[in-house]
Amino acid sequence: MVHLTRSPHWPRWGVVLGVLVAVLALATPASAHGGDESSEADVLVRQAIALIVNTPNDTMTIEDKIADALRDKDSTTVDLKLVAKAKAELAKGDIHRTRAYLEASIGARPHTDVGHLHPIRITDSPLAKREVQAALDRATGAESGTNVAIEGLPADRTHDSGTWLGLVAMIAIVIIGATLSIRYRPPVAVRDVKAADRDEEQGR
Amino acid sequence: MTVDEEQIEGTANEASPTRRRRALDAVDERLGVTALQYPVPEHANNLAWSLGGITAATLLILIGTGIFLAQWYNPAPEQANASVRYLMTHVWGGQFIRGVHYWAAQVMYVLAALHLLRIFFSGSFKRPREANWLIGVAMFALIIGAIFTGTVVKWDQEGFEALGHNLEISRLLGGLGFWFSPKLAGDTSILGRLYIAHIVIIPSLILGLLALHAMLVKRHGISPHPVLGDTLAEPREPFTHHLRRIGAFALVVAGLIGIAAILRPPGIGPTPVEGIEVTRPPWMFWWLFTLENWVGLKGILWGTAALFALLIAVPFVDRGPERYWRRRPIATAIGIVVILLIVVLTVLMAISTPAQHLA
Repeated sequence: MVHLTRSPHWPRWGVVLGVLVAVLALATPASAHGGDESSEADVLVRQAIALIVNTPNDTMTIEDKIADALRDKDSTTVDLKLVAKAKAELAKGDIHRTRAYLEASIGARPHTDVGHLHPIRITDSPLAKREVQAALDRATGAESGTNVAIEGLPADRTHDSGTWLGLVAMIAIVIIGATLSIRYRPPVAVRDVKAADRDEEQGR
Repeated sequence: MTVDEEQIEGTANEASPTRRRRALDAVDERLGVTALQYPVPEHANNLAWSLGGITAATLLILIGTGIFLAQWYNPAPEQANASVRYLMTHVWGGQFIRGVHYWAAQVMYVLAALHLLRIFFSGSFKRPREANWLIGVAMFALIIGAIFTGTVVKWDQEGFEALGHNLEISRLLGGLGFWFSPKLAGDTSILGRLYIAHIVIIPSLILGLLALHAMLVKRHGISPHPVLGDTLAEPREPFTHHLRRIGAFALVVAGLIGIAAILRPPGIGPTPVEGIEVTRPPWMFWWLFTLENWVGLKGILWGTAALFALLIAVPFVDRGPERYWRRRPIATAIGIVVILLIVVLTVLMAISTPAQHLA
């Protein structure tokens, strides 16, 4: 008589686990809480502008970014004199002039007219050079592709006749749906079935 | 009208339904639609038991509006944010359709979560429906993935920071996080890959799993009511009546989404810049970000892993025959604790300011 027995296999789960451990072993520690910050004036000015756009009340962080940018004395891509003016404007509490000086310092068109502002010639500016370069090199990997942050765009909430018509149509859809869902509701409720079940058991 | 004319009229009236009947039979012969009329217990038509169907209806809304939005969206990083702005300001109905897409995504998330909770508390995942529970959990994960990729592709500061978090988490995962690594295809933008995930990979997977989910519902039948069980006293109705009621509920949901899209249309944030962290993620991720504030980026990874490990474990741990939640005190207590934890962590995020975690 032949006894069919299962031949000893490689422990398959062990192999799977081994592969998983090997893959996970490739993990690199992710940095959290801070990490490497850029020391390039050009990057720091862009970040300061983005902070003004996003969180204009957080002047301390904006001030830090500007101060860090001013430390990059060898920068050839930022007009540090204009950054220094931006710092002075921030100290006075004028966030618009701060932003305008920062924008001018990297050759971007200031978002607002502050007068007496002489940004570096746009054709010489790092921004213009970057834009020319960007036309050749598109953003890759996890690059944002943004040179200077522009404000968010809130949705248009003005209500014209089309809006009201749409609103009426949507309310009509809700009413039709609610009416149909009432019309199509189950004729017998769960509690009725429960009661019928109970009655049947008592009857027995 | 003479008697003869009445007879002719009568004959015509009788012939009409016969022709209609024949047409329906012809369609049925080829498509087998009457197979949908199989009997289901009447409790299936209650709102709580229709949540899965209504979730599927919101998926249809998302696909329809997504096709519209894709005509104008440009997934190049330099243009993505601007293309959304153009859609909002220059395309007729663009703001409204984007609003419907935005609100439908959130409604779908809420409905899927409620559906999952209904299944959990009514014990509908129990034998022989364990596999369908796992498919549902996978679909829930994909819905979260769709919301995440949707947040990123609008390419504003919020979306860019969401991506930044994910890149860091993929580094924590080592080789398993390869797909999120910008180095995977270094000469292209990761935005393009996430866009493909958002419009092709994730919806395809959801639709595939949805088909499997529906097939298993048909195979095992609608789960019995936890209180009634398989009582014969409960009337049966054709499955088409269930679909009909889902359709009615879906109309209500679609109308409410439309109202929200008109009254509270979404805007778009500033163009993104690397190296700053100033935004909050969408509300469904808030609980994870409270964990991040406490323990760093790994909090997001461990929080997500813990939730899905619990969800996957449910049918393997809670295996008793009892379905009614009051008679499953341990499972119910754990479920309520998890819900409370998520709610508390979400509220904590709502009242805190975003902290810098990204490198």
